[in-house]
Amino acid sequence: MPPTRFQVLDTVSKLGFEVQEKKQNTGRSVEYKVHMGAKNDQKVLLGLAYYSNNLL
Amino acid sequence: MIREILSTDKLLIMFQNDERMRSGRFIEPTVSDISIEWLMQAYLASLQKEGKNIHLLPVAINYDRLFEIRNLAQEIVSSASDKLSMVTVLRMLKEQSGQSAGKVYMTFGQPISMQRFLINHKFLPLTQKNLDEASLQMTQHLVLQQELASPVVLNMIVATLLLQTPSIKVPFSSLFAAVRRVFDYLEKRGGVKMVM
Repeated sequence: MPPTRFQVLDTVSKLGFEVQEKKQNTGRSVEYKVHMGAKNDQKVLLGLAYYSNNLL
Repeated sequence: MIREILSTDKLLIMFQNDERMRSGRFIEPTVSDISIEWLMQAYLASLQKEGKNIHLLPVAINYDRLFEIRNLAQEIVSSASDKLSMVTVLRMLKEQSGQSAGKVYMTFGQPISMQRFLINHKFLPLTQKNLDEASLQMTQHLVLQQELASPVVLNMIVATLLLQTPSIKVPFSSLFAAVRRVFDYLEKRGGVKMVM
């Protein structure tokens, strides 16, 4: 089964990144922005590298 | 003891790779695993003479390392695993409360016949002379099986994409689309197990 929006959103948060709801017109699906500020944290970067290595 | 257990046809569970691979990548071992050496010794000492065989069923247990991701990062930097105090573990548990601790993935590889393995690798009859080399090759074979049995999980895809992102803010829709593209590509290409 392909990953759902909710699963990806949840994973991004678990990996230590802030997800913020974007202001938008009503009637459309909710859009989010991922704040990549956590990448400045060396430990978060290493955590990402670990999982990335797993895939590669 | 292994010989005694095996001679009574009992099921035996042995653990390989007692230390996790800090880089996240599987590395071909250069020394044999001690548990495999014990198994080979048991085979050499009695089972081979009795014409008996051993069947190995490789089992890989993986999990989302969300709970200890910071600890893991520390290990990658220092190459040493810190011993956690009870206070630290309690603090980590408190930080994790109310959140998911992730998933555990258990995969089973193809059964391996010890006899067939030794014949194919020209180690039969097994002797004290070729035991070390046979143990090493079996260890390498099992690590490869573990790598093949390890599934691709969502964490890996998302982490890889986030790592490559140069911008400070990323629209979620584009990240989600990229995740789906990677998933579709891997599914089409085949050859890997995927657990989302």
